[in-house]
Amino acid sequence: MCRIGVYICECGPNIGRTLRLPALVQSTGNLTGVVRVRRVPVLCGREGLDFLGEEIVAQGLDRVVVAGCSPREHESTFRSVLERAGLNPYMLQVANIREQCEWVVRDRDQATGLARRLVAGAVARVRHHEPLLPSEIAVSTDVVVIGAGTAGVRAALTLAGKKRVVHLVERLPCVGGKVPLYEDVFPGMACAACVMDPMLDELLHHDGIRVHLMSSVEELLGFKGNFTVRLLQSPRYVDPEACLGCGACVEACPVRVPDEWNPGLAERRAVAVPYPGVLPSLAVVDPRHCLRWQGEDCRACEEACPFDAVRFEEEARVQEIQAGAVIVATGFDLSDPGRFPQYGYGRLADVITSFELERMLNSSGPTGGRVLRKDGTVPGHAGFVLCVGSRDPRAAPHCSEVCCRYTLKFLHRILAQGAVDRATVFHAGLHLPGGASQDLYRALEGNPSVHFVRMGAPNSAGILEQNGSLAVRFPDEEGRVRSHLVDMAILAPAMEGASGNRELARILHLETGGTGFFDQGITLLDRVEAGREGVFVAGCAAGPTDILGAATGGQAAAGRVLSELVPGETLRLEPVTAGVDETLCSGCAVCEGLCPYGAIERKDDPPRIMVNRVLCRGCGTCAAACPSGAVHCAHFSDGQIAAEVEAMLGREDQGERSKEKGSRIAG
Amino acid sequence: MERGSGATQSGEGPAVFEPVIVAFLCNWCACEGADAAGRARLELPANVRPVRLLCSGRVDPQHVLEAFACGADGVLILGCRPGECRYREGNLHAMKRVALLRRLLGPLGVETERLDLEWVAAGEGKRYAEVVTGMVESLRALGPLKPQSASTHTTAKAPDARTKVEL
Amino acid sequence: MTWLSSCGGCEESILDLGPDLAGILGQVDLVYWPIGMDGRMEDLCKVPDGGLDAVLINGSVRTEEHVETAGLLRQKARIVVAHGSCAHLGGVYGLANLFSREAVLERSYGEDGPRLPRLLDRVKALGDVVKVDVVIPGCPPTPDRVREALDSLIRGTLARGAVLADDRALCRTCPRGETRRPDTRIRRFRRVHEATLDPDLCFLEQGIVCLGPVTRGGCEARCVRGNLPCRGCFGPVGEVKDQGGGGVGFLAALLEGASEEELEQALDGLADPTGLLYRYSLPSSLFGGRNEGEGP
Repeated sequence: MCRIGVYICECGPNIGRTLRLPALVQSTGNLTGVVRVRRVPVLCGREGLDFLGEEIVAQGLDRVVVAGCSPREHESTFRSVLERAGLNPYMLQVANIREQCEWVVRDRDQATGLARRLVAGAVARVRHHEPLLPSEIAVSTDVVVIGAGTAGVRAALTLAGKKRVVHLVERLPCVGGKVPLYEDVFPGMACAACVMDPMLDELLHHDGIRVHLMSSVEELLGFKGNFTVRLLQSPRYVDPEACLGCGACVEACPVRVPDEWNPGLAERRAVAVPYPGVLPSLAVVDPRHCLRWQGEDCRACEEACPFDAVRFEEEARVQEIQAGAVIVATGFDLSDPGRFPQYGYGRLADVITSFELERMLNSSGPTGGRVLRKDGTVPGHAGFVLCVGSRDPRAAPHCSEVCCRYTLKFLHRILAQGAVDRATVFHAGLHLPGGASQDLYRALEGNPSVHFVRMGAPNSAGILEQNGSLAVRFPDEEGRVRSHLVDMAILAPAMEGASGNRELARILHLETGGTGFFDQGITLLDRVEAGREGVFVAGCAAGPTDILGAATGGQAAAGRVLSELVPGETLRLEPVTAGVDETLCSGCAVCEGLCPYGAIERKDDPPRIMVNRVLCRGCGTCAAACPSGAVHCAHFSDGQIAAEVEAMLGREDQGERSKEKGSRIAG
Repeated sequence: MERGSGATQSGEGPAVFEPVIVAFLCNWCACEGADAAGRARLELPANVRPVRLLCSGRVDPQHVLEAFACGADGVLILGCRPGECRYREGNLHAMKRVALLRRLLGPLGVETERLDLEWVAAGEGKRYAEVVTGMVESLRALGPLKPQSASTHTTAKAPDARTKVEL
Repeated sequence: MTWLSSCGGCEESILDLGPDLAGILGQVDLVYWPIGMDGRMEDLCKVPDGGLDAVLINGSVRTEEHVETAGLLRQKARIVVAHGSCAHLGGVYGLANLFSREAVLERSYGEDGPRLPRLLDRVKALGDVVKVDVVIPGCPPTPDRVREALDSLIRGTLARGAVLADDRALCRTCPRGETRRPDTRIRRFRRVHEATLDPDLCFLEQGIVCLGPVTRGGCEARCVRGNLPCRGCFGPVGEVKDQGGGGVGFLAALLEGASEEELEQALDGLADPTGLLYRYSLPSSLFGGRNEGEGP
């Protein structure tokens, strides 16, 4: 039999002006299980709390109902009192007779009647409460970071700075992401290599960071604090210990294929050092093109290597890593402007992307820093077309954030080196946040060589060939079609999530948005939330951002990991979660498809599901959908909800009977 | 049974039917919205029996049936606005259940107006007041819930031979 | 054995035992079986209270006569077995509870109806009028379940309070259980005749309503093996108070759509959800079975 104490708080002068408290005390005393009813002037004050604690002990209470203000205000305060008095904190129920009764119902009888029902509901509910205990599990504090671009590297270094073991997983044979391929970076026109190289050098020589190049995550099992990550590492066919990146093998290779690092601009060999200045400076054999994989016994690179570093016998390697958290920093890709035929990309020789221009401007790039048309001549007039795909609901609805600013960077660079005579920027409104970007813009104002022309809408231009030049055509803000002749057109394609994101999302049980970014967990106060406990997202993987934004994202994600997984500390699991009664579960898996956190896993033999308490956040949508009544929800059980509803409707004493209705034939 | 403890008993004028409504409130939005209504001292009818849950997605169709079976004249589910669910899509699941439940309940004599799902954000005290007041008024007009099986009125005809019956 | 409001299918389920029936009949003394042998109520009245070892009652409780018969048999028998869905849950006849007694009478007999025993306000399950000891579920019960029940009755090992079937839902033993994918969503429900049915794929994957998830297993998935979806005749599993409510819970979870319009469109393919989800259990449901002021 329950021993319930009900404490009605008068909340100073707040409760009791409308409510008839004596009547409430009297009716409450008649409720099943109630052994004590007391009015207290201010229950949340020091005196009130002490009184409540003493009462629990003196009256030998096993359950407490507080009738007073909203549970959102003081539920946790009263729970601590229960705990100090030796009761489980979950043996409490709060009836909100202030906000939802005293303050809103004007008629005294009606208010009192409602309060009686609210208290009856709370009493009936608390009778079904069960003690709940948080459990604790040991955790791994190692971290897997996916992607070795700006965000991933910043995250790795931040974590390693606090002695965390970091596994940095990179799909490519080198680190640094896209930035090392540029010449300058906005807004300060700093040299990209000067910014990146020291950081990458620190990364590659850090004892706490294991860099897994040419590797991908194949499987993520487990949960926050206890992940098992399966990595697949493709063979490089070159021994990194022996290779110096001298390039002797490259010279010897007879195969020539388009160079992904310099699209449309250069060729490479089947064995290559990705690009000048690459870190680590190592050659890599590409089995998609190497003659040995085409059935020929070519050993040109092996014979040319002065260090015997080539290893054709190397094989793919699988390894499993235990980690407590995962940071996704897979960056972005530029969308293919060929998707919009009106721009002529791929068809018109001198329509190029901003990335191709970056490579041309790079002093160690394919043109040695010179801007050249396909025929080798210097363009007199360069046209920059912004918002190619961006801000267009039919393509990429978002603003890609950086295009306007890197276009200013281009202008400064090409004007400074006299690469072109004139430049025109076709934009649909310039996005230049921050003081430094405005400085960049102001420095161009009044420059007779630069023109800014406003288009009527984003992604609305087209490019035609006209007498050996390119005509950029677009409707202006009045809808009149304008046409400008240029010699070279540089497109700013929309940024989208990295090409592997959707597959990675499947592996990590995350969701991507329509443009492939991991942006579904982001909230106004949290840009690194990925939507799964223990997994965070940083940098452009979460959506377009600039270099500073990517670096900050990496540090922020690292910060979350550092604060949530601390060596020597266990992970406290909140007890308000779902659970499953295996004797009832049929394994129909309806719940599995509903859980927003991947906390439900189907098991075979016999078919059934399991709820992972680390991942579960207790929302209860699984319990609501379970057709077997097998999934239950701690502290929000069917029995507790039913008891509260029945009592509020004046049927408190029938709660027990209706609970047994399902099995009434048991008689 | 004590139906409608808030029923007008003042003896002035004809007695008004006072419906009893069970409202399932999401802890993160509607509960806060209801509290906001209280803090603003808005006037609310005494007909609503609020049940606090962590998410509108926790509402099992059987909780709704239970409420009707225990004498509720209406059931109101209040969740976060679409896209704002703390658990991502709990409110959407609630919407799906309500859509199907209404179809289940229609032939049992439960009119559509008796089961409602609305979005109330945390700051929306005024909206909370409007939603609950609106429902109370529409149920006052509709009258008490009469379950089909116990009713003696014959407005619901048995199907004639032409009515298709699902196989 | 006797029948109340019944189609006779449960009586047939006894004959479905085939040759085994002979062996069983050899071990029992059959006192009263109106459909199979001569016997009168008067004779039954002469049996001392508790004089029968067991009685199997099939059919739902529709008339006052049914209440009396059930009461009399309860008095005479030490074990009362609810035989089949109608006695267990109220059964198909329970769907008459969607209409008033008067409407049902008028629909069936018009103005000049025959003289019938007085109809109750609503159809009830056997358990609503007498204490039931054991349930053999099914419409009709499968031979295995009937044989099991009779065997254990004869041996005296029948566990009181039991539903003689699985404790878990049909999906657990369904031959198509493994083909169910958790992320499948249904844009529009289809009816059986609107689809070419894949004999190996979960019906829900094909957009066909199957009540397997919300129905007690133990039927050897006979309908599913015959390429028809489960319609729920074994009733809900123990923890589920309301088969229709449980059905709404899981079917809603499978719906595709994020707007009311999309959802209504998806549901338009679902003819008569009330009749479908409560086909066998309306009298035992939470709300549909409610009947104020009329105790058992």
